[in-house]
Amino acid sequence: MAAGHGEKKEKRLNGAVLPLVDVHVGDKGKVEFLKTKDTVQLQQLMGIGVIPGVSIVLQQKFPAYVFSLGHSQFAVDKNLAQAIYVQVKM
Amino acid sequence: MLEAFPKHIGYVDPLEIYCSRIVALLGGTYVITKRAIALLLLQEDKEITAHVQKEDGGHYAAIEAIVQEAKKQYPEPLGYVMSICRQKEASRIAESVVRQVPYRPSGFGAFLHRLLMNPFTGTPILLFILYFGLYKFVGTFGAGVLVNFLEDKIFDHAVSPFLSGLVQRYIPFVPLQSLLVGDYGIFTMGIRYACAIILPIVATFFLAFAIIEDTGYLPRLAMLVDQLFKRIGLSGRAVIPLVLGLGCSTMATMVTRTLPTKRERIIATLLLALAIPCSAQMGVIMALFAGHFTGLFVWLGIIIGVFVLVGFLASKIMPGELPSFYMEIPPLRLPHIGNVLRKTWVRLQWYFMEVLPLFILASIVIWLGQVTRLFGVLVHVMTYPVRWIGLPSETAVAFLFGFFRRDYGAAGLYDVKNAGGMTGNQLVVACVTLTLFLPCIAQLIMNVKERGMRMGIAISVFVLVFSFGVGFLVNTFLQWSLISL
Repeated sequence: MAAGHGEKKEKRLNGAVLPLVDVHVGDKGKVEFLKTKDTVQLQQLMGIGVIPGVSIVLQQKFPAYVFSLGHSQFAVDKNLAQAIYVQVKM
Repeated sequence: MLEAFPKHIGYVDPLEIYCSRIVALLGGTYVITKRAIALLLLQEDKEITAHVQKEDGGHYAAIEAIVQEAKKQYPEPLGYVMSICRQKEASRIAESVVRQVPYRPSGFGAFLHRLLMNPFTGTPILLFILYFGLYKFVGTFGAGVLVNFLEDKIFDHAVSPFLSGLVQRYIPFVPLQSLLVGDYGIFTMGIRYACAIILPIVATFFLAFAIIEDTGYLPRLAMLVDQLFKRIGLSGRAVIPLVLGLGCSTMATMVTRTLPTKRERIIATLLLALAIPCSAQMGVIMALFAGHFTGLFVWLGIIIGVFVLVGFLASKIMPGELPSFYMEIPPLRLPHIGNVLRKTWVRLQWYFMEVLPLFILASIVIWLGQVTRLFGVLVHVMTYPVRWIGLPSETAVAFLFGFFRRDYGAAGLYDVKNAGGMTGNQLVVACVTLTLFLPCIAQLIMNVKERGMRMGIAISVFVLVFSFGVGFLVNTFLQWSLISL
C-alpha cells in the first residue's frame, strides 16, 4: 500500500501527462492535449477554454470534475474529463 | 507598443498556404474578410460552407478539394490545431501586458462555496432552500397569506359585490350579466383568479427565483445533480429549465432551447408537461392540503416517483447521443436588490400580459359553452373519467378548466374542497391527476411550437392518458388497502 502510494507520487513528480480523471485534487498543471474521437466533445471543451497550453488546477472530482482555468471555474462530467490530458507540475 | 500586435494571427505554415489558396478562389461578396471565410471553411463551419456553396458555386469543388487536402496534413481536426495557435498568440500578448497577482478566495464566500459543492452538505442546503424559498415563502406566504387577503378582503368583500351591483343595475340583459359577473364571469372568475390567486403566487415565486439565480447557486446545483440526471437522460444543465418550471412551465418549455441535444429537449419538455407543477398550481395544491400533511407527502412522493420513472423510461426508449455536462461555475455573489426587483418585475409583466387575456378568453369560452349548452355536455362527458378515478362529479368542471390553465383547474378544486365535497383520499387522487394532467393551453401551444406538431401532440396525448391512469391506480390502491388519508 505504502509502496503503491510512493510510486504514484513519484510518477506525478516526474511531470507525467495524465488524464484529468487521474490527477489528484489540488494538483496544478498545464493542459497538454485533448484526446477524443468525438469532435463535438472537442468543441465543447475548446468552447469553455480547455486548450493545450492553459494552466489548470483540479478542485474536486465528485460528483463532477471541477477545475479552475485562469480565473474561471468549470464543472465537467467524467466523459469530458477523460479527454483532458494534463502535465502535472509539483 | 501596439505595433507589436499583429493584425491577424499567423497560423502554422501549411495552414497559411491552404488559406491563401482558398482566398484566391473566393470571388463572391462577403460581409467579413475572405481570410476569415477561408479559415471558417478550413474548420468546416456548416453555415459558412453552405453560404460559400451559394456565393461561389463555380469554385466550390476546388475549394472543397483544398480543405480535404489540408485535413490530411493533421491527425487532429483543423479547428483544434487553429485553436492552439490562437491560444499561443493570445498568451503571448497577455503575458506582455498583464501582471498576475496570486489570488486566493477566502472568508465566508469560499466556505459557503465548499459547502454548496459537496453533496453531503449541498443536499441539506437544497432541502433548506426548497422548504423556505418554495414551501414557506411561495406556498405559505404567497399562496396563503397574500391570496387570502386579496381574495377575501379585496375581491369577495369589495370588488366583486361592487361590480355585480353595478352590472345588475345598468345592464338588464341576463346572459350579458352572467358573462361579466356570473359564476364563471370575466370579472368574478377570470380577473379574480388572475389577480387574487395567480398573481401573488407567481410574484413570490419569481422573486425567490431571481434571488437564487443571482447568487450563482443554480450552476452549483446543476453540478450536484448531474450524475442523478444522467439516469433520466438529462445532464445537470437541465436543472435550470426544470426549476424554472416550478414557476411557469410554459416559460420553462421555451428555456429547454438552451439544452444542447434534441433528445434532452424532448425529455425535458415531457417532464415539464407531466410531472412539474407550476407555481400557481403548486400554490393552490399547498392550500388544498392545508392541514392534510400526510396527503401532501403522499402527493409529493407520487409526483417524484412519476418524474423519475418516466424520465428513466424515456431515456431508455429515446434514441440519440448521450448528454454531456460542462458548465461554468461563477463566483458566489450577494444579489443586488435593484437587479432582483427589476428582473421580477419584467417577468411578472410578461407573465401577466400572457395570462390575463387567456383567463378572460377562458371565461368567454365557458360562457359561450354555457349559453349553447355545449359546456354542459363536455362536463357530462368529463364526469366519466373523473368518476372512474373515484372523484365526485363536481370536480369534472375543474378538470375541464384545467385545460385552459392548469392553475385554473386547481383553483376550481379549491372551491369543491371548501364546500366540503371531498375526502382526504379523493383530495390526493384529484391533486395527483391534476398535476400530471394535460398542460395548460399555453403550454400545449408552446410544446407544439418548440417540439413540432407531431412531438407536441404526442407528448400531450401521452400526458392525458397517463395522468388518468395514475389517478386510477392511486385510487384503486387506496381503496384496496383500506387506507384513508
